[in-house]
Amino acid sequence: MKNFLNIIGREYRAIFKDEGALLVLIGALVIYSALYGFIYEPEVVTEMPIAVVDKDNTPTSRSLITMMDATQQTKVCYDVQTLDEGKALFYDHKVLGVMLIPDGFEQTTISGQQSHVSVYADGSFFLLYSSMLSSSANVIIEKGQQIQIDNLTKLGIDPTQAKLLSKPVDYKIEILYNPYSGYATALLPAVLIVILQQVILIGIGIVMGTRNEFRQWGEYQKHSTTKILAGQYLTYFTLYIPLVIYLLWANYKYFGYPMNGNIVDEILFLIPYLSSIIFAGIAFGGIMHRRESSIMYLAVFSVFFIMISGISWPKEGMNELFYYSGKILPSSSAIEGWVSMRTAGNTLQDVAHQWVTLWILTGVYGILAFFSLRQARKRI
Amino acid sequence: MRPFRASILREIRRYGRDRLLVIVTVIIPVIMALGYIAMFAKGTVHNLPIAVYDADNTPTSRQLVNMLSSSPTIFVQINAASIDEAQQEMAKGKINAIINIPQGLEDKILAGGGAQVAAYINGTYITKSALIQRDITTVLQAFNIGIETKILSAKGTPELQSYQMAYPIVMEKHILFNPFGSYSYYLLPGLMPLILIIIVIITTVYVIGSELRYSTAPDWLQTAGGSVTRALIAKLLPYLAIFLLLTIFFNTILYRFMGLPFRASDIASLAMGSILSILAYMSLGIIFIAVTSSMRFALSLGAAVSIASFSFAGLTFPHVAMYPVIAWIAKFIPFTYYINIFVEQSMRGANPATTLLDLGCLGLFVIAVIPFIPLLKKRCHNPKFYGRL
Repeated sequence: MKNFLNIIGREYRAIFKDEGALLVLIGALVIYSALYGFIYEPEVVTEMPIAVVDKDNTPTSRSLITMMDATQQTKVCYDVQTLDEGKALFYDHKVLGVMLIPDGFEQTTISGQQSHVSVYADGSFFLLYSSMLSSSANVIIEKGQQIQIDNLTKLGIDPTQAKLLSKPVDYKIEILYNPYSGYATALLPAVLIVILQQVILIGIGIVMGTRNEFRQWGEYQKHSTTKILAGQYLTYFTLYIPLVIYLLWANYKYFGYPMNGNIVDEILFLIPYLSSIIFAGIAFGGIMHRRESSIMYLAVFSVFFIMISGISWPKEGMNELFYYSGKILPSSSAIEGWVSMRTAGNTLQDVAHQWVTLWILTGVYGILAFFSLRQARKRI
Repeated sequence: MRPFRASILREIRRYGRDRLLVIVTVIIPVIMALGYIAMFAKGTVHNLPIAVYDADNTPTSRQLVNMLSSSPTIFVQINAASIDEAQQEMAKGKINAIINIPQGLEDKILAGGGAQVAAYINGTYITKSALIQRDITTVLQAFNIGIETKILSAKGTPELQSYQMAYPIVMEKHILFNPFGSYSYYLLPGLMPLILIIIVIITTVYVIGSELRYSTAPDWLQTAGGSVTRALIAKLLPYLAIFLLLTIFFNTILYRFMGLPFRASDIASLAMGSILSILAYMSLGIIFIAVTSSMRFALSLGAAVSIASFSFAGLTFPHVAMYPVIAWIAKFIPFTYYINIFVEQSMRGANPATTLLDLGCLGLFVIAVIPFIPLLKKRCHNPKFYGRL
């Protein structure tokens, strides 16, 4: 027991004496979680400037413009007469979307016929085009209903009846857990999970790479590999308890990401996640020849690791083999399970599949870590 | 010319001896690019499973269920016996949305009003929820138009007129530059070059930093005849060649295999944008190592700046929506200008003159390195800066 504590003490000293390791293990975690939080904190596109080409110029077309202006997503900054003017504004980056109301819009719709309103959205930016399309669609449906009610009333149907008839089935569509489709709400939980994995993998890689490079394993000679592995594991596990509390509770609260989970389930879920990435870090760190190697190998994968989990582009759109091979990364299962519990408020039972996967990864990386460490400690 | 050639040969030998460099500059980027192909191979998402709880169970409600099932993005996989069952399936992640059709749908429609339908979409996966919301809205709208047309026709209005009255305004969508609204068309052109700029900056820091780290800087400068500028150019030239080959490889994947539209009238500004971006990140790498003289610290900095470049560039979360201070910081990130050039030229096919400003800004990053070259020289000559960890 005493020499076990000895190993842990030695590991802690090695970490806290090494400003390079501290910068990654602690600094990067704090800086990245705050930086990405601030970048995405506005959540949604609001008041994006658009132009309306109003060829009709009637009270009906003008009310459509007023309604477009009143939406949260769009703001009508230009009211022009020709599509060419609208296009010019678009190419000059003065507006990010264009709506075209055709000539005769009022006349056609009032007489009970159909009119076509064209909406031009910028397909090179996903959020811009989806905001433009959803705000236009909502306004057009609403305006269409008003017109229907007027027309039906003219046919002699009483206004209450007309209103019901204009929308025979009243429907509501609710997006659960993220009602305004906020970007930070959707992505930051996954980003934070990957930050945790990246700093641990790279950080342990720096500590062990340094020890490998300078052949500093001599002082561990009297201990067994199992003991060293257990000591290292406990060192990082205890070091990360406060850091995980900061990352997934304090930082979460500050930015207001949804916290709908049960804390006991969450802790039970995080144990195999943290364990598997620490063992993966030791397994990987053992084969790092130099201090800087782990940064060189892993930095480039940061965004890739987020993408492969399916949080952004869905798994249903990926090659299956590719998606399932991503499961060798603890972050992939952790993201799925974490957003399901934390964001959607599901239980550990609901994410049992991901939880078991993380335990299996803990075992596999634990074994790999053992062999990697046994090889590494020969460098004396 | 002799010291220049000797310097290049020296660098090529160093490259060949260092397995890590070969893995980082060739193997990893190629594997990642292939990974991204597999990720976006299908291009679109079809038949996302949803559940329906049809408490009405009449021909009308079944028609609605059929309409939902035949819409492109969603597919009714579960006909739940209760809302609880549907909710449990959603919690397990088996289905992405629940449609609740209460009892009395058909009766209320026939009676002239009060029918209701509710849809609940799992919002934890933002791309999926957006696609599903669009499909469900379209189906419910079409369903309503169909019913209203039928009712009006029954009242004696001619069918075409009934339909037009029920559907007075048609929205015609024009998704400019990305007609299929494809997700990969806007993400991949950012993700692929991101691989490159991260590798450019860490490689630059590494190959220069290792001269200080392993005290070989005097030999490096001596081989180049004492000129730090010549030493730098000779050192980075072989890597520029590798990175240009990677650029060609990535662009071949994007345009030839992933079907990305190419509307640029001339490729000169796009090519200049790519070359200047590589040089800009090399320049940042040189600045970082010159200032810190610690390879490890400069690598951490370089990795942080290059990875964050993706978010700052505004491709995912646009600049108009960012906090002004974040959008302002983005102006100090070379990748922002690269993305501007790409969007203007490749996606929009805009006049090449519109990208001159962006190219100019990238050029500024490249020349920003000049004042730091004397500093780097000082570091190289002073053993105090060798071997820093």
